[in-house]
Amino acid sequence: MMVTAVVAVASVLGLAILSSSTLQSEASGNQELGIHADGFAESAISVGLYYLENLNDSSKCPMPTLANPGGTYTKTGQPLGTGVPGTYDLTIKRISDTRYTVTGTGYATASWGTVSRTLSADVDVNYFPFALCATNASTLLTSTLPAVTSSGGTSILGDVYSNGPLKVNATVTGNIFAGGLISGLLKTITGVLCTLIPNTASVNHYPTYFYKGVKYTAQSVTLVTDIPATPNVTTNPAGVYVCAGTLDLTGNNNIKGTIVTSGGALRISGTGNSITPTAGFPAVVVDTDITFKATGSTVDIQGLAYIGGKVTRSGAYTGCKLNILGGLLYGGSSTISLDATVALQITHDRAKASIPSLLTSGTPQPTSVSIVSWKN
Amino acid sequence: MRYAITTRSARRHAMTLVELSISLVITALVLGALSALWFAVAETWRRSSSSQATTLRASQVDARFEATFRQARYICQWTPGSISDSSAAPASCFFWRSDFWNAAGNVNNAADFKTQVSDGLVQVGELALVEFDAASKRVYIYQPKDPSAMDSGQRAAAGTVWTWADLSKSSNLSTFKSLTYVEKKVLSEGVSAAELNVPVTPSLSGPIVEFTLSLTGSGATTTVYSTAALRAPSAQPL
Repeated sequence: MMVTAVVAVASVLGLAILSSSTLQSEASGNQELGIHADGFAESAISVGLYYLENLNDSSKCPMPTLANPGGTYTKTGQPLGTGVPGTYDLTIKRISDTRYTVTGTGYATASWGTVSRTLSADVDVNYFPFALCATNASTLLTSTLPAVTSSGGTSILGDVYSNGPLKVNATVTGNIFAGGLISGLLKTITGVLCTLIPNTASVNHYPTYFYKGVKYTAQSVTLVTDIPATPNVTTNPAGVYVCAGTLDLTGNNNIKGTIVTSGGALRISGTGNSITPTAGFPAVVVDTDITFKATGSTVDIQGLAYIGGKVTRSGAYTGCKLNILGGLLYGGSSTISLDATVALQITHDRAKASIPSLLTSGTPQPTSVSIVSWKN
Repeated sequence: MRYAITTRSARRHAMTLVELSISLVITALVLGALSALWFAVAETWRRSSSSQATTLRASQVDARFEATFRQARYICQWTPGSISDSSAAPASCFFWRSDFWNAAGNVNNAADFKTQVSDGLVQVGELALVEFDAASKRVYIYQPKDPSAMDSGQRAAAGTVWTWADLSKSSNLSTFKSLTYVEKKVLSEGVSAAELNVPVTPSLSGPIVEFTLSLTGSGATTTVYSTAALRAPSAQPL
């Protein structure tokens, strides 16, 4: 009787322990699977980032060019090798010119089931990563960036790149990369990723353009007064204004859009001039020079500025200011020529400078990617 | 034959007091030994079970902390707290969750407040505070309610932009916690001590949050050391 009782109690105890242990084991196993699934999802995101960083390189990125906006690429059931039980799904959706949403779902499998985890990241593909960049500059002549003085000079917040020799007197808060180094704390351009800048023959003059997937024709202008205060949402929603020659800004001209001067210059007089492009477009594409033609002339360029010539003055004018928030691309093949008597300030803005449509092909190689949001 | 057995049985005498005493002692010894064995098994099981449960919880807490911080854009201010010094100010971390606040958004459309709105401005609705409470042994997260659960006045208030002067002011932590549209939720229970660190990282490395948590449950204590990397960090807000 006593033996039976002992055996019964021991059995109950054993069953309780077994049951509890099984429960804990399953909980532990599920948690482990959750971590594995999270790892699979992270792997999917990493693959997506790799594809985006290598857009236009079919040997590294099997993804076709996605429709803008809304184009989607999907890859499902991707394994990570036979030793890793589970798969991942990858989805890349294009949101805008340079923004994509990468979604990774990981599936970790075990004999008792599958656990899934989904991660998502909004990613910007970056182009033109330098505040001042010249990839066609002469490799035989030395470009000089003028020192900041009371009468002018250049200050730069961001990195500088020139394929030719560079003498840096300017105030630069950032790295300076140059080919054929001359002076200053310069770094070699070897191995530096850089979006090649088109010359004036191949730069996009935007006679037509795509905005939110629809093709539009730019508005031709002769005078700054031809430019409306706000873009025509029906015919020219991005506000691209093309001038066949030189265009003058005369003071307090606040342009909402992009100015293209085909074969001509952009001349500045008066104060309070500004150019603010639509997202995804450059602020100015100037085939020749940005020229100041009066004392005290100023202009704020809130985006990417492309010039085929130089920043200069048409006379002995003083107090001229050029502020660029985005980047300055030098498309010429001589030296970078910045007037020492013009106060030039360039601040690099990653998003504003990242304009792949500046190349007529529209498919330059990205230099990097930036994760702008992350969701678990 | 049957007779002989009956005769022998009839001749068996009862147990003496000495025999009874000895048998009782032996029975007590056996039961005592069995009880000790059961007790030992049960105690070992309890300890093992408790330890496993705490480890499981530690793993969950780690995952939750990591999930919370890796979405963050910027750590605005933090208090380290201490694992060993209970008199230290409690660990806390005030951070910009994401740039998603959409003033013109339709609250009936959840996607309007889940999509990135890159205005670079920090609205109050985008903030969160993680804070350790030693009294309740919990780590709480304070964050604004879902926009669809706010009334129009709260939504307008949640769209208020806080500049760096506001974000870095320590007195604004209690202001933030007291807002009517900010909810207090439990991020983790059974935390006996917590310590945070936001080290200065090299320029090419992303920011990280290091956390050390001491978890207690049923006599077992587990210490978690872990790190969460901010996956979409931003520069210091203006």
